[in-house]
Amino acid sequence: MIDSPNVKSNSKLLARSAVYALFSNLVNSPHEDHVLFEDIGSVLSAIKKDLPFRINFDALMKETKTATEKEWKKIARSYSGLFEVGNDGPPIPIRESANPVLSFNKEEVTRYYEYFGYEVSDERQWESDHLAIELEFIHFLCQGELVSEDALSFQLAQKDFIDRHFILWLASINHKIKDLDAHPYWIEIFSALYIFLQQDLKWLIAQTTNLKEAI
Amino acid sequence: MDRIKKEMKVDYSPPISRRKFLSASGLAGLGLMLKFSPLKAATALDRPYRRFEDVMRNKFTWDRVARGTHGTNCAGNCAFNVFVKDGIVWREEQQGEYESTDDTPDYGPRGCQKGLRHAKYMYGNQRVLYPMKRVGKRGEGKWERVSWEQALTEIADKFIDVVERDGPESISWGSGTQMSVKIASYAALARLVNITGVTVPEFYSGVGDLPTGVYTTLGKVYVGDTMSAIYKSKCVLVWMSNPAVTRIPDAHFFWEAKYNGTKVISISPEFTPTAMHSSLWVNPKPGTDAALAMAMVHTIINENLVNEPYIKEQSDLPFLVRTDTKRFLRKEDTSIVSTLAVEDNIFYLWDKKTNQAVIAPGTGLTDPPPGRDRRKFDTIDLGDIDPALEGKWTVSTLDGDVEVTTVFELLKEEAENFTPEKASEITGVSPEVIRQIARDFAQAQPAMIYAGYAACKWIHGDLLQRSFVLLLSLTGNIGPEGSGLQISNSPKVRGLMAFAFNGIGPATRMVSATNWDYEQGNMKELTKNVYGEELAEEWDAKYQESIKEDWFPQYGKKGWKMGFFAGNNGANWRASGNKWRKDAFETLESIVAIVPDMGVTSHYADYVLPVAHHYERADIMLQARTPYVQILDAAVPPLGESKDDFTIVHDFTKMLSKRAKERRMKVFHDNVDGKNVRRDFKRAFDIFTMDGKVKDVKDVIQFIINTTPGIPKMSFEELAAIGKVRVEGSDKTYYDKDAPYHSEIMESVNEKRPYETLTSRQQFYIDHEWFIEYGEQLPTHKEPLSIDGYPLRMMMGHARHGIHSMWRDDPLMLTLQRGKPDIYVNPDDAKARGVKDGDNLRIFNSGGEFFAMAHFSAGIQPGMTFMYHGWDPMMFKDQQNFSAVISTSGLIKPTSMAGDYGHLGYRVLAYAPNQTYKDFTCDFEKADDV
Repeated sequence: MIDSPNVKSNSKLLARSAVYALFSNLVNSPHEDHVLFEDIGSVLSAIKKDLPFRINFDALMKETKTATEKEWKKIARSYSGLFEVGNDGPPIPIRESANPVLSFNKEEVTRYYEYFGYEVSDERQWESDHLAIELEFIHFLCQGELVSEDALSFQLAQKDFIDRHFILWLASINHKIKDLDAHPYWIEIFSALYIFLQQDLKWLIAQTTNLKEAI
Repeated sequence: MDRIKKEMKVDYSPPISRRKFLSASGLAGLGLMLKFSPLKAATALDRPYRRFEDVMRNKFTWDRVARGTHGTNCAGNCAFNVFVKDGIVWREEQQGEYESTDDTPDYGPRGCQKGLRHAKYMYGNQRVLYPMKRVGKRGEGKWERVSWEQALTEIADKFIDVVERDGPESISWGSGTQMSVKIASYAALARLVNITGVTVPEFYSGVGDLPTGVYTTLGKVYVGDTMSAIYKSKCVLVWMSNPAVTRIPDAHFFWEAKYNGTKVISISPEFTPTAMHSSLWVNPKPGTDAALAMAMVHTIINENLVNEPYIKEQSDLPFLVRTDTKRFLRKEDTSIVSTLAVEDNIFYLWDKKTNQAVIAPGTGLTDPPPGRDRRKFDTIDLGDIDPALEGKWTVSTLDGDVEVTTVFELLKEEAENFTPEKASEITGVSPEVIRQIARDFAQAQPAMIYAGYAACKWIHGDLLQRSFVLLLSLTGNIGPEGSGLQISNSPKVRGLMAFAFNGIGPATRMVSATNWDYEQGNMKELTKNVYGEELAEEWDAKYQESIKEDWFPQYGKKGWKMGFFAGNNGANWRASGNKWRKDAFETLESIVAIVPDMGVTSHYADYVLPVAHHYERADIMLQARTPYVQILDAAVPPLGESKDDFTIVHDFTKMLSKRAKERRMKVFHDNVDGKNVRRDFKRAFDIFTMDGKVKDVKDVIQFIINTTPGIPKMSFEELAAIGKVRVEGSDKTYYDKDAPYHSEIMESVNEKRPYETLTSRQQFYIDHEWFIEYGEQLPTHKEPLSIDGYPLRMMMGHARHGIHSMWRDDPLMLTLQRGKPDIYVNPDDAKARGVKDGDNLRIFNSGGEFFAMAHFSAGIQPGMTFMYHGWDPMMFKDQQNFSAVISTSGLIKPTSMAGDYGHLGYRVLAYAPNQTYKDFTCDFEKADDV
């Protein structure tokens, strides 16, 4: 549980942080550790009230209701077919550097982690630019921002990282996933994530501009 | 900072396990997931962040620098330092620090752009990271990720099913060059196939690299030296080879030699990057090289440039041949006693001193039992004999008086068919150029022929290789440093074999992949369709006769049911259009591909198992081109769920035994080449691990270090710390008997020991009835086969930007080329067909078609095209690469299956039908853009 005294006074940040934590888990491989929410709808409903911008998670909330134990095998197989296995490799690279046009971004990702003291567990270091791990890094930055006296550093880092590492990549994923025979569960998750990232970036740009001016 | 980071170690595992539903609502519930203390996150920041450049200001440091190389068959064996940070390989760098041999330039630094790109490639999207199971139709491309447990259980069950129903020979375990160069991996595989009895279609002949002509002449295929030998040469014929592209770490030896006065003559139909740097480029028409070689032979003989003392001692050229039968004069011809004693390997010379036929020293040896080296027991030293090279005489035989002459006389007659003028008409090379290169070559001393494996890929490539060796022998150029035929050498693999057979003895089914494909894919039908019924029937009759005579084994009589493909991309390049893929490969009951990267073989597999890439595994490498043992040390753990080859074989064997026990599989008796072998799969794992002694690949490496002569004795850890170590027996530019590489030919030359041929000499005359029938007793030239109606000959070669199909799809490498498969065409040929540079081409013949981009080059002769190989079919329209027009898989040359003739007869990895890839023609036309 969050025990910082700032938490209650920064519900927007906490909500944003929670969304990143949620999506970090949702885009992780079903073959790895993966959390399923019994009622994502109620979670998202609770979160979105505190987000600093309006966002519609209805489609996602509807689709995630299908993520039952019974349906899970299909969902997991669909994930593998999209992100883990395929004729030329998986159709959609879920590691940022596995995208040919983004292959040189890996060093920067690692430098961000190092700069802010974020470490990846040994067994996943090879895929430290996995989307789930990069999303968790934003979640990590949000947590830092919660208690840091230098909130601007954390906000600027969120803004830059999202802008430089997510926007182009997620646009590509969303474009591709709709052309593939993907389970709707994944289509809605990635669609919602992309919309959220765009909104969050817009908000962060405004926030950091204000903060910069205030300094 | 470090202290804080340590405390902040992130446990990525969520608070509850997968598939367990989280009853959560609102932020309180979600708060369960927050894994960081906000306070620690905040305090981890030691200076403000304002822009992304801030994260780039610190020096990038490394946690570890490992020693490694790339376990691929480029023969480079380049020592690299591999830089690791946070469990990721970021870059590699050439290790350097090589010594030289004698006064030659040193071997280092070594490396090329592929190796220096691997740190990026290994993380590419093409990587196979998890076991995959096919869920759609074969080839449809639908997969699901499965656990190793599931994959190995299902594969082991299918394995047992096939063995119980059809026997182990119906299962193949193909191993390619990717596997063979990693000695420990190959040893593990060799032990598994020895235990189980599955068929191993060997790849040496399977990819067309087996120099059967060299074997026919010298009794060995491994005759090459270190690359530094090039520097010792005064004239190098770089023949059918393009080392500037294919031997990047070693090409400097050619250019350093040139600047030191060596004449480097490049002989290839197309203008290559090697030709560009050579002293002279000679461009015979494709497939006419043997005519050029024979014309050089003609010049050397006619201009008295022959090294007579050498050929009298070392070769069969002074041996006597009966003119009535065209067969050697043998002792059994001369007395009934000898006939009864079957003294068919005792031959004669005509001694000029005594003017009579005398027995050639060193002949008459019987084939040695395994492990015994007969060359230790006799000599080819002529003593007081002065053999005649020319003349005709009459000798008394059981058939009465017969005329005899020498092989040299017959050679002179054969060479008359290839005067420079006649050869010029065949090759397109000027007679004066032919004479000049013959003189340059003969007078250089020492001179060498540096030949590529392309010399083996023609149906009459054996004749070309025999011509090569003849050129060298006539001029005394097999033996001295800087001479010889530089085409192939290999480790003696004693350690590998010791591991494979330890405690169980040899019981392996190894067959030429050419034979295997011929039978399993019905390639006779292909020959019939493309080259006509007459040829198909005639050559098949010889094939069947060879089997019937027991000259060659016939495996897979019950058909091919299950195929494992490890260390190769078996479906990438087959010389049968679609026939192999459609009629053999795709009809298998089960296909298992064990690969690091996706490719067409995996595409059609039922299971794809991920194997670790070069920097994720330990192994030991021996490549004869440099006198070093190179270590592979795992810089990082295998990516995803991939495993090294040893572990996969180990885990599979374990599962095989487990399932055999659970299914109560019976012990069975298996006949391998007449040997009765008891196979008990329930004990397979215990046997494989030597009752638990062999636990991981490092144990195998240590076993090989300890048991391989010529590798300095040290621990794996000691070797891993330095990366490479010089092998023993490498004081000269060629290897001596203390080396871990073959050196038998040098011992024959220098110590006058009998060669392992029927005549105990460099044998240029083969009087086997089939060789006589086909007029191939002596080296000669025969026209390559063509397909009626198709005028263009397609030549191929190894690429600069890939090693076979590995790295061929790398995005950066593609930017250095045209980004997609391209075919080099002569501009005039193209214009005649209305084709412009960059057009999409349809290349076709009666076998099939494929599409590639037109790449104009004036370096391509009219009447030919050129395509660098290795492009995976997945990179082409309709997943069809150049194999579509290659129709040579059914062309099994009868003489390559001759037997019951001294050294001729099935010898695995030495004498077997070679898969050929050149004897076809095609055409091209402009196609619609794609």
